[in-house]
Amino acid sequence: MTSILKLPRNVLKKIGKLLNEEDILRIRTVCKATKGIVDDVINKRAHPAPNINSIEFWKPIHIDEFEIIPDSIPIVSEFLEKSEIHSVGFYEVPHDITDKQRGYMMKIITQFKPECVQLYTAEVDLLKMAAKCGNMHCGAVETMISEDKISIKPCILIPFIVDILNGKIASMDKKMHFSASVDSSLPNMMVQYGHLKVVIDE
Amino acid sequence: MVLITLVSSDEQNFPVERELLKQSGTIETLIVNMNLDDEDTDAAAMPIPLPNVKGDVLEKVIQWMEHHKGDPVKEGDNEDNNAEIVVPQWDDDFFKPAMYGSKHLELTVAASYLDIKNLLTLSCKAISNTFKGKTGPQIREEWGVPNEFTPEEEEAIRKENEWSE
Repeated sequence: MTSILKLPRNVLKKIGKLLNEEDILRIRTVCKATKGIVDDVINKRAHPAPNINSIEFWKPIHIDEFEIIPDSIPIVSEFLEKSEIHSVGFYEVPHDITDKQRGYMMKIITQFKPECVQLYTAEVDLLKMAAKCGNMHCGAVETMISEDKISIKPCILIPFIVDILNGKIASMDKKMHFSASVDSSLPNMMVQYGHLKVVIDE
Repeated sequence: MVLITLVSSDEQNFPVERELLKQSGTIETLIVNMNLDDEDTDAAAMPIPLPNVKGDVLEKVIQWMEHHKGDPVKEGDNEDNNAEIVVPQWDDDFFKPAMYGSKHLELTVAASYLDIKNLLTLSCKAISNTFKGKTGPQIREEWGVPNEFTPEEEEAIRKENEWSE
């Protein structure tokens, strides 16, 4: 008899990818095989490549929709629960959003586990908020993808925000350029942030 | 109508309409490599052996392909998006009788081996649907999976997942 544990790893992985965030976390407790696969899947989701295909997984909330989100944290929680949003992505958030929009975004960011938030913005206060919430996967990105290279600029990744908060980097005024050489065989042009080469333009 | 014969691991012969087999990447490759589409080739005289698929499973695969004849074959696999895929009613009814048993798992493995993308996705989705809203122990019980974790390990994982419970 074929056991579910004897399914080929690629099939088990596919099953994992077909689950939503909550269910996939629950199957971590089934057995060691599912835990390993789930951790792989979650890890991949937490480090999406900065391109359109990778962000489609996340459910973006557009700034235009903020008007329908009520203005208090308990009601925001209720809104998110009712709308069954389990993860959230903010992309290309402009730096000149209004205070109200920023407030909504901050409330939303605080409602999610860090690994369920994707935030790409040049808006410094939002990045700081995400950093305070422990989110290490956010950054301000503008990507240029060529055949063998992804350039991200200007880009301030959360680990650097943490450094700024800790006083290790004095100012955020410098333009930071990040570039990453990408192994073209990697699926989805995955970029591991830890491997990014950092060049600071004075 | 051109028929091509598939031979299962237990040596059962299944004559199948050529058109249906376009759904299988593996068989399609074999057909091309064996020049079975050439007018000069007697396709009926050149059966395709499938040593990894038993007859009863192959029969189910063919039944599924017949129902899905003409469906667009999915190109690529954008898996990050498919948590929201819905299993159509016909497929749900097709999978359900064998769910939780070896037959459905064998069908899923066959779909993977034969590279029938739509069948693999729907079959995996049907399995993943049985996990919905259930805890690890509940899934273990339903699928007959032994518990490999110590109580301490299980508690540690449960704590990590607490927010999703």
